[in-house]
Amino acid sequence: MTVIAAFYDFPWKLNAIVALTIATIKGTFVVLYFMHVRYSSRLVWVIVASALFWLGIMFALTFSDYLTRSWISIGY
Amino acid sequence: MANVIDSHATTSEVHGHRSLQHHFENMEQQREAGTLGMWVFLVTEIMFFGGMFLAYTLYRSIYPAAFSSASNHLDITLGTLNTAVLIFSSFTMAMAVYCTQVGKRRPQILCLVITLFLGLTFLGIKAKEYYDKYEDHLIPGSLIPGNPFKPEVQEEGQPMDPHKLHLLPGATLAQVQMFFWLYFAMTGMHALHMIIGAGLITFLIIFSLKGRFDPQYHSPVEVIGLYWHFVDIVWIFLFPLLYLLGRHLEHG
Repeated sequence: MTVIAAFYDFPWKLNAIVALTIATIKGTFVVLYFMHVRYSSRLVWVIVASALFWLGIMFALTFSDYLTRSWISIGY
Repeated sequence: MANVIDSHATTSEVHGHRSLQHHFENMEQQREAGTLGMWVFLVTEIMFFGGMFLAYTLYRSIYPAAFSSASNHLDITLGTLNTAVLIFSSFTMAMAVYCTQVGKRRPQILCLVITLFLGLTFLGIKAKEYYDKYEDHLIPGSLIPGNPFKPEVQEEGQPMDPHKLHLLPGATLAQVQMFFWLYFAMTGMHALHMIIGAGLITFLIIFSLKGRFDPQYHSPVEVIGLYWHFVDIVWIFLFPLLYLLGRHLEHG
Protein backbone atom coordinates (compact mmCIF):
# COMPACT_ATOMS: atom_id res chain seq x y z
CA MET A 1 0.00 0.00 0.00
CA THR A 2 2.63 2.48 1.05
CA VAL A 3 4.72 1.65 -1.99
CA ILE A 4 1.78 2.40 -4.26
CA ALA A 5 1.04 5.62 -2.41
CA ALA A 6 4.68 6.68 -2.78
CA PHE A 7 4.52 5.85 -6.46
CA TYR A 8 1.79 8.44 -6.74
CA ASP A 9 4.25 11.17 -5.78
CA PHE A 10 5.66 11.04 -9.31
CA PRO A 11 2.46 11.21 -11.27
CA TRP A 12 3.80 13.02 -14.30
CA LYS A 13 5.57 9.84 -15.31
CA LEU A 14 2.28 7.98 -15.51
CA ASN A 15 -0.20 8.15 -18.27
CA ALA A 16 -3.95 7.91 -17.86
CA ILE A 17 -4.07 4.16 -18.31
CA VAL A 18 -1.34 3.42 -15.78
CA ALA A 19 -2.95 5.74 -13.22
CA LEU A 20 -6.34 4.11 -13.64
CA THR A 21 -4.87 0.62 -13.60
CA ILE A 22 -3.23 1.35 -10.27
CA ALA A 23 -6.52 2.75 -8.97
CA THR A 24 -8.32 -0.38 -10.14
CA ILE A 25 -5.74 -2.66 -8.53
CA LYS A 26 -6.01 -0.71 -5.27
CA GLY A 27 -9.80 -0.81 -5.48
CA THR A 28 -9.84 -4.54 -6.20
CA PHE A 29 -7.53 -5.15 -3.26
CA VAL A 30 -9.84 -3.21 -0.95
CA VAL A 31 -12.93 -5.04 -2.25
CA LEU A 32 -11.43 -8.53 -2.02
CA TYR A 33 -9.65 -8.30 1.31
CA PHE A 34 -10.88 -5.33 3.36
CA MET A 35 -14.46 -5.97 2.31
CA HIS A 36 -14.05 -9.76 2.60
CA VAL A 37 -15.59 -10.51 -0.79
CA ARG A 38 -12.84 -13.09 -1.23
CA TYR A 39 -14.38 -15.05 1.65
CA SER A 40 -18.03 -14.25 1.04
CA SER A 41 -20.81 -16.35 -0.42
CA ARG A 42 -21.47 -16.77 -4.13
CA LEU A 43 -24.45 -14.43 -3.85
CA VAL A 44 -22.27 -11.49 -2.76
CA TRP A 45 -19.99 -12.17 -5.72
CA VAL A 46 -22.99 -11.95 -8.05
CA ILE A 47 -24.11 -8.64 -6.54
CA VAL A 48 -20.62 -7.12 -6.88
CA ALA A 49 -20.30 -8.36 -10.45
CA SER A 50 -23.74 -6.99 -11.34
CA ALA A 51 -22.65 -3.52 -10.19
CA LEU A 52 -19.73 -3.60 -12.61
CA PHE A 53 -21.98 -5.01 -15.32
CA TRP A 54 -24.60 -2.23 -15.08
CA LEU A 55 -21.85 0.37 -14.82
CA GLY A 56 -20.36 -1.06 -18.02
CA ILE A 57 -23.73 -0.81 -19.79
CA MET A 58 -24.13 2.81 -18.70
CA PHE A 59 -20.67 3.81 -19.96
CA ALA A 60 -20.84 1.75 -23.16
CA LEU A 61 -24.23 3.02 -24.28
CA THR A 62 -23.52 6.66 -23.37
CA PHE A 63 -20.21 6.71 -25.21
CA SER A 64 -21.55 4.85 -28.21
CA ASP A 65 -23.84 7.86 -28.51
CA TYR A 66 -21.63 10.84 -27.63
CA LEU A 67 -18.43 9.68 -29.28
CA THR A 68 -20.21 9.06 -32.58
CA ARG A 69 -21.86 12.46 -32.94
CA SER A 70 -18.85 14.70 -33.38
CA TRP A 71 -20.75 16.65 -36.04
CA ILE A 72 -22.91 18.15 -33.28
CA SER A 73 -21.05 20.36 -30.84
CA ILE A 74 -21.68 19.49 -27.19
CA GLY A 75 -21.51 22.15 -24.51
CA TYR A 76 -19.96 25.52 -25.17
CA MET B 1 -27.87 -20.66 -0.65
CA ALA B 2 -26.02 -23.85 0.24
CA ASN B 3 -23.93 -21.71 2.54
CA VAL B 4 -26.93 -20.69 4.60
CA ILE B 5 -28.31 -24.22 4.93
CA ASP B 6 -24.92 -25.65 5.94
CA SER B 7 -24.40 -23.07 8.63
CA HIS B 8 -27.89 -23.75 9.99
CA ALA B 9 -26.80 -27.11 11.25
CA THR B 10 -23.47 -25.99 12.69
CA THR B 11 -24.38 -22.78 14.51
CA SER B 12 -27.36 -24.03 16.48
CA GLU B 13 -25.42 -23.31 19.67
CA VAL B 14 -25.77 -19.57 19.13
CA HIS B 15 -29.52 -19.92 18.77
CA GLY B 16 -31.28 -17.58 21.14
CA HIS B 17 -28.55 -14.91 21.12
CA ARG B 18 -30.00 -11.68 22.52
CA SER B 19 -29.27 -9.82 19.26
CA LEU B 20 -31.05 -12.40 17.07
CA GLN B 21 -34.15 -10.92 15.45
CA HIS B 22 -37.16 -13.24 15.49
CA HIS B 23 -37.48 -13.41 11.67
CA PHE B 24 -34.07 -15.08 11.26
CA GLU B 25 -33.30 -18.74 11.82
CA ASN B 26 -29.90 -18.14 13.41
CA MET B 27 -27.08 -15.63 13.78
CA GLU B 28 -25.28 -16.75 10.63
CA GLN B 29 -28.37 -16.27 8.47
CA GLN B 30 -28.95 -12.84 10.04
CA ARG B 31 -25.36 -11.82 9.34
CA GLU B 32 -25.50 -13.07 5.76
CA ALA B 33 -28.75 -11.19 5.10
CA GLY B 34 -27.30 -7.98 6.55
CA THR B 35 -24.13 -8.18 4.46
CA LEU B 36 -26.11 -8.92 1.31
CA GLY B 37 -28.45 -6.01 1.96
CA MET B 38 -25.48 -3.68 2.41
CA TRP B 39 -23.99 -4.87 -0.87
CA VAL B 40 -27.25 -4.19 -2.70
CA PHE B 41 -27.20 -0.68 -1.24
CA LEU B 42 -23.57 -0.26 -2.31
CA VAL B 43 -24.51 -1.24 -5.86
CA THR B 44 -26.98 1.66 -5.94
CA GLU B 45 -24.20 3.88 -4.58
CA ILE B 46 -21.81 2.67 -7.28
CA MET B 47 -24.38 3.59 -9.92
CA PHE B 48 -24.91 6.99 -8.27
CA PHE B 49 -21.21 7.87 -8.28
CA GLY B 50 -20.91 6.13 -11.66
CA GLY B 51 -23.16 8.79 -13.17
CA MET B 52 -20.79 11.52 -12.02
CA PHE B 53 -17.75 9.60 -13.22
CA LEU B 54 -19.50 9.26 -16.57
CA ALA B 55 -20.11 13.02 -16.76
CA TYR B 56 -16.47 13.63 -15.87
CA THR B 57 -15.15 11.21 -18.51
CA LEU B 58 -17.41 12.72 -21.16
CA TYR B 59 -16.42 16.33 -20.50
CA ARG B 60 -12.79 15.41 -20.16
CA SER B 61 -12.89 13.81 -23.61
CA ILE B 62 -14.46 16.98 -25.03
CA TYR B 63 -12.25 19.56 -23.22
CA PRO B 64 -8.87 17.87 -22.59
CA ALA B 65 -6.88 21.13 -22.46
CA ALA B 66 -9.22 22.85 -20.01
CA PHE B 67 -9.36 19.79 -17.77
CA SER B 68 -5.56 19.60 -17.69
CA SER B 69 -5.28 23.29 -16.83
CA ALA B 70 -7.80 22.98 -14.01
CA SER B 71 -6.41 19.67 -12.76
CA ASN B 72 -2.92 21.17 -12.51
CA HIS B 73 -4.31 23.90 -10.29
CA LEU B 74 -5.41 21.40 -7.61
CA ASP B 75 -3.10 20.90 -4.63
CA ILE B 76 -1.48 17.54 -5.32
CA THR B 77 0.34 17.42 -1.97
CA LEU B 78 -2.87 17.71 0.01
CA GLY B 79 -4.55 15.27 -2.39
CA THR B 80 -1.81 12.65 -1.91
CA LEU B 81 -1.86 13.19 1.85
CA ASN B 82 -5.62 12.67 1.90
CA THR B 83 -5.31 9.48 -0.14
CA ALA B 84 -2.82 8.09 2.36
CA VAL B 85 -5.01 9.16 5.31
CA LEU B 86 -8.07 7.49 3.81
CA ILE B 87 -6.37 4.23 2.84
CA PHE B 88 -4.88 4.01 6.32
CA SER B 89 -8.32 4.64 7.85
CA SER B 90 -9.68 1.81 5.68
CA PHE B 91 -6.96 -0.40 7.13
CA THR B 92 -7.80 0.51 10.74
CA MET B 93 -11.48 -0.09 9.93
CA ALA B 94 -10.64 -3.57 8.63
CA MET B 95 -8.67 -4.16 11.86
CA ALA B 96 -11.69 -3.01 13.88
CA VAL B 97 -13.89 -5.55 12.07
CA TYR B 98 -11.31 -8.26 12.70
CA CYS B 99 -10.99 -7.40 16.40
CA THR B 100 -14.77 -7.50 16.76
CA GLN B 101 -14.97 -10.90 15.11
CA VAL B 102 -12.41 -12.40 17.48
CA GLY B 103 -13.88 -10.56 20.46
CA LYS B 104 -11.00 -8.24 21.36
CA ARG B 105 -12.93 -5.26 22.63
CA ARG B 106 -10.22 -2.79 23.65
CA PRO B 107 -8.27 -2.94 20.36
CA GLN B 108 -11.58 -2.81 18.53
CA ILE B 109 -12.58 0.47 20.20
CA LEU B 110 -9.06 1.83 19.66
CA CYS B 111 -9.23 0.99 15.94
CA LEU B 112 -12.64 2.63 15.62
CA VAL B 113 -11.39 5.79 17.36
CA ILE B 114 -8.34 5.95 15.05
CA THR B 115 -10.60 5.44 12.02
CA LEU B 116 -12.90 8.25 13.16
CA PHE B 117 -9.90 10.51 13.78
CA LEU B 118 -8.46 9.79 10.31
CA GLY B 119 -11.85 10.38 8.71
CA LEU B 120 -12.09 13.77 10.41
CA THR B 121 -8.50 14.56 9.35
CA PHE B 122 -9.51 13.86 5.77
CA LEU B 123 -12.47 16.22 6.06
CA GLY B 124 -10.27 18.90 7.63
CA ILE B 125 -7.76 18.73 4.78
CA LYS B 126 -10.64 18.76 2.28
CA ALA B 127 -12.04 21.88 3.96
CA LYS B 128 -8.63 23.56 3.62
CA GLU B 129 -8.60 22.72 -0.09
CA TYR B 130 -12.13 24.08 -0.54
CA TYR B 131 -11.08 27.27 1.22
CA ASP B 132 -8.12 27.65 -1.16
CA LYS B 133 -10.50 27.31 -4.11
CA TYR B 134 -12.72 29.95 -2.52
CA GLU B 135 -9.76 32.30 -2.15
CA ASP B 136 -8.86 31.80 -5.82
CA HIS B 137 -12.46 32.51 -6.93
CA LEU B 138 -12.84 28.99 -8.29
CA ILE B 139 -16.27 28.19 -6.81
CA PRO B 140 -18.33 27.70 -9.99
CA GLY B 141 -21.27 29.89 -10.92
CA SER B 142 -22.55 32.21 -8.22
CA LEU B 143 -22.93 29.55 -5.56
CA ILE B 144 -21.23 31.84 -3.05
CA PRO B 145 -22.90 35.27 -3.14
CA GLY B 146 -20.35 37.99 -3.83
CA ASN B 147 -17.66 35.54 -4.91
CA PRO B 148 -18.56 34.30 -8.41
CA PHE B 149 -16.34 32.11 -10.57
CA LYS B 150 -13.64 34.55 -11.65
CA PRO B 151 -10.12 33.10 -11.39
CA GLU B 152 -7.12 35.24 -12.33
CA VAL B 153 -5.36 33.89 -15.39
CA GLN B 154 -1.58 33.51 -15.50
CA GLU B 155 -0.12 35.77 -18.21
CA GLU B 156 2.63 34.42 -20.46
CA GLY B 157 6.09 35.59 -19.42
CA GLN B 158 4.95 36.67 -15.95
CA PRO B 159 6.42 34.96 -12.84
CA MET B 160 4.35 31.89 -11.93
CA ASP B 161 1.76 32.65 -9.27
CA PRO B 162 0.24 29.54 -7.66
CA HIS B 163 -3.02 31.43 -7.12
CA LYS B 164 -3.41 32.15 -10.81
CA LEU B 165 -4.84 29.69 -13.28
CA HIS B 166 -2.42 28.58 -15.96
CA LEU B 167 -4.54 28.04 -19.08
CA LEU B 168 -3.14 25.63 -21.64
CA PRO B 169 -3.63 26.48 -25.33
CA GLY B 170 -7.17 25.74 -26.43
CA ALA B 171 -8.70 26.02 -22.96
CA THR B 172 -11.33 28.60 -22.04
CA LEU B 173 -12.50 29.75 -18.62
CA ALA B 174 -16.02 28.45 -19.30
CA GLN B 175 -14.60 24.97 -19.88
CA VAL B 176 -12.46 25.21 -16.75
CA GLN B 177 -15.61 26.12 -14.85
CA MET B 178 -17.13 22.82 -16.06
CA PHE B 179 -14.23 20.99 -14.43
CA PHE B 180 -14.86 22.78 -11.15
CA TRP B 181 -18.59 21.99 -11.25
CA LEU B 182 -17.65 18.34 -11.52
CA TYR B 183 -14.85 18.68 -8.95
CA PHE B 184 -17.17 20.16 -6.33
CA ALA B 185 -20.05 17.80 -7.16
CA MET B 186 -17.86 14.71 -6.93
CA THR B 187 -15.66 15.61 -3.97
CA GLY B 188 -18.65 17.25 -2.26
CA MET B 189 -20.78 14.11 -2.50
CA HIS B 190 -17.78 12.11 -1.37
CA ALA B 191 -17.26 14.42 1.62
CA LEU B 192 -20.96 14.10 2.49
CA HIS B 193 -20.54 10.32 2.53
CA MET B 194 -17.50 10.77 4.78
CA ILE B 195 -19.54 12.90 7.20
CA ILE B 196 -22.29 10.25 7.31
CA GLY B 197 -19.60 7.57 7.77
CA ALA B 198 -18.02 9.49 10.66
CA GLY B 199 -21.47 9.67 12.29
CA LEU B 200 -21.93 5.91 11.86
CA ILE B 201 -18.52 5.18 13.37
CA THR B 202 -19.35 7.40 16.35
CA PHE B 203 -22.45 5.25 16.80
CA LEU B 204 -20.29 2.11 16.62
CA ILE B 205 -17.90 3.47 19.26
CA ILE B 206 -20.79 4.22 21.65
CA PHE B 207 -22.28 0.75 21.16
CA SER B 208 -18.89 -0.91 21.57
CA LEU B 209 -18.37 0.92 24.84
CA LYS B 210 -21.73 -0.47 25.96
CA GLY B 211 -20.46 -3.94 25.04
CA ARG B 212 -23.14 -4.65 22.45
CA PHE B 213 -20.87 -6.57 20.04
CA ASP B 214 -19.34 -10.02 20.48
CA PRO B 215 -17.92 -12.72 18.18
CA GLN B 216 -21.47 -13.96 17.44
CA TYR B 217 -22.94 -10.53 16.79
CA HIS B 218 -20.85 -8.03 14.85
CA SER B 219 -22.92 -7.21 11.77
CA PRO B 220 -23.15 -3.45 12.40
CA VAL B 221 -19.34 -3.14 12.56
CA GLU B 222 -18.98 -5.27 9.45
CA VAL B 223 -21.68 -3.49 7.44
CA ILE B 224 -20.48 0.01 8.34
CA GLY B 225 -16.99 -1.25 7.54
CA LEU B 226 -18.22 -2.15 4.05
CA TYR B 227 -19.64 1.35 3.67
CA TRP B 228 -16.38 2.94 4.84
CA HIS B 229 -14.33 0.88 2.38
CA PHE B 230 -16.72 1.84 -0.41
CA VAL B 231 -16.18 5.54 0.33
CA ASP B 232 -12.43 4.84 0.29
CA ILE B 233 -12.71 3.19 -3.14
CA VAL B 234 -14.59 6.19 -4.54
CA TRP B 235 -11.70 8.38 -3.43
CA ILE B 236 -9.14 5.93 -4.87
CA PHE B 237 -10.72 6.65 -8.29
CA LEU B 238 -11.44 10.34 -7.73
CA PHE B 239 -7.85 11.12 -6.79
CA PRO B 240 -6.09 10.07 -10.03
CA LEU B 241 -8.92 11.39 -12.20
CA LEU B 242 -9.09 14.84 -10.63
CA TYR B 243 -5.54 15.43 -9.36
CA LEU B 244 -3.17 13.36 -11.48
CA LEU B 245 -4.43 12.93 -15.02
CA GLY B 246 -4.02 16.59 -15.95
CA ARG B 247 -0.29 16.43 -15.40
CA HIS B 248 0.32 13.83 -18.05
CA LEU B 249 -1.02 15.96 -20.89
CA GLU B 250 1.11 18.94 -19.89
CA HIS B 251 4.38 17.16 -19.21
CA GLY B 252 4.23 14.96 -22.26
